Amino acid sequence: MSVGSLIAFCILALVAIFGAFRMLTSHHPVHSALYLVLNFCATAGIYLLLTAPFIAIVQIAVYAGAIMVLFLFIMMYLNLGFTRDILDDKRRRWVTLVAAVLLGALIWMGAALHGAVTLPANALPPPYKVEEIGMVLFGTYALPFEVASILLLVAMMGAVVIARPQLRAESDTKKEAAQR
Amino acid sequence: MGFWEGLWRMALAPLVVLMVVLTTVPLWIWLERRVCARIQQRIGPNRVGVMGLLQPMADAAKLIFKEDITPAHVDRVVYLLAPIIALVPSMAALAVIPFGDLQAADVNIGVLWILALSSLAVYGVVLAGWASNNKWSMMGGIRSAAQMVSYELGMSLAIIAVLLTTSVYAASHGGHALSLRTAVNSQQGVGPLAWNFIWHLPAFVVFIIAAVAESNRAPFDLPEAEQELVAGFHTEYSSFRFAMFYMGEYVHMTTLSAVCTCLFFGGWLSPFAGIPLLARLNVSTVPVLMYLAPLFWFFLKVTLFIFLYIWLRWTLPRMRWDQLMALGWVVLLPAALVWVAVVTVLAGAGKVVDGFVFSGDGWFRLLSLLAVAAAYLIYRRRRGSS
Repeated sequence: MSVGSLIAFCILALVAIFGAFRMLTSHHPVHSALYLVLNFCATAGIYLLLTAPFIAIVQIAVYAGAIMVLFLFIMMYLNLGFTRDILDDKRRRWVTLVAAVLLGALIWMGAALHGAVTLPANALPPPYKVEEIGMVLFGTYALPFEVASILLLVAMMGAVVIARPQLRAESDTKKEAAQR
Repeated sequence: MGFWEGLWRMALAPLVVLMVVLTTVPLWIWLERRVCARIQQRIGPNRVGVMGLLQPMADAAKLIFKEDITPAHVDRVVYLLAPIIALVPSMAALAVIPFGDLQAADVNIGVLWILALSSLAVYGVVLAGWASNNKWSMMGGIRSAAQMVSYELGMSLAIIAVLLTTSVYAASHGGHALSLRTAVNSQQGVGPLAWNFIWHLPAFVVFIIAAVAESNRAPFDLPEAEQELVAGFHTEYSSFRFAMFYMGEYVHMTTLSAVCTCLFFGGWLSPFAGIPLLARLNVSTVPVLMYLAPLFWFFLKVTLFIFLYIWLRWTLPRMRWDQLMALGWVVLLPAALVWVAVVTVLAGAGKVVDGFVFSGDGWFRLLSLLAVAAAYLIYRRRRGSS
């Protein structure tokens, strides 16, 4: 790693950590979402340093561009207000801390058991061209890829079914009937 | 790479691109006001400078010296950041656009870069709407988020259709399949006949409509519908922060027009290229014109698209909210999906019969024309029978 990319990595890593930290500690959900976007963009920069431009761009387009916009959309639509009371809850803080420590221990154990992470021998050499990724994704790993998309499709259809107005209206009337 | 070439490529070329594009913004604003005046049978601004050309400068000076008001009830940091976020992604997207030889960065993922930044562009409007802490602004922001997310799908699919044929070209002629430079190179041939907008007509129509919607312009300007929302997401903004939204809109238009030029209108290629009788007009041997002619053609095409934007804005009435969503999800998205499937089959078929009478490219073009004609005939028949 050259000095230039080391400096760039340090800056990006600091920005990513700052974004992740502020995402947790912000008192407003919209601010948290924005810090998460900052974190995504910094992570995309790190992918770029790893000569994986495709992953970097997908990170920005899918996570920062699509998913977080939908998150923000929902937050604004429901006009979610301040969450200070949840964050200031002492017990929750302790639970969060314990969870974080446990997660860290889990990662450390995984790393210690598995040793240093090495790429498989048949991995693509960098720089990763989009064409090559496409060939691998739709050739060698076509089945897992399609299974993953079917999973997403099912999840989406489930959401549509749940949100269908007539079903909701029916269940509402049933609830009202039950209440009477 | 020597020092001077490095300096040019790393620092000066991006600067030149940015300066050129920012300089065109006042020109577009002038064009907008004059064309709108013509359409409404007025004269338009013609007092400041020759033909009113300096009017945008006067407007900019006025906007800078106005008071920059930050209302007390806003979310201050986000409110101040939003205009910058609105402006930056569309400017950054310009980096990968090849204006002839002038290009800030020829990366191998050019088209994806454009898509990623265009999906970030929504933040400016959404955050402005939310941070203003104003019901009308908020409505504008929410509308904008829904609209841009919806139309991005159709736009991406239209781009994918073009990329399919571009990648066939890249496989045989070299170059990165996702670079806009390759997209332009693949359209070399007999003048406009080789340009994608003929052979990818459905994708072109979908792209144009989605591009107008993406830049929040009439007939898709619901985020700032003044009859309903005062001025939508920028109601609370004044002075130079308002000017940044205003500029952002035109930079966004320029970027999308430039992408459209590259993908569908042959980029910097001359419309006379390859035509036997007009080949004498070929200037590629004259020293200075050799560099200026591609730039000229590129900017001429971009200007035509900007004119189209303006023409649409002052001709069509604003769509209703449900019509907007229906157009995006029920018309554009399925149309683009079908077209991607058709192109996949036709380009594949062209590859199989490559060299039989025509080249694979020629077969694709023939079949795509037949497909569009067949679709049109079926449409007419069904409309006639009902």
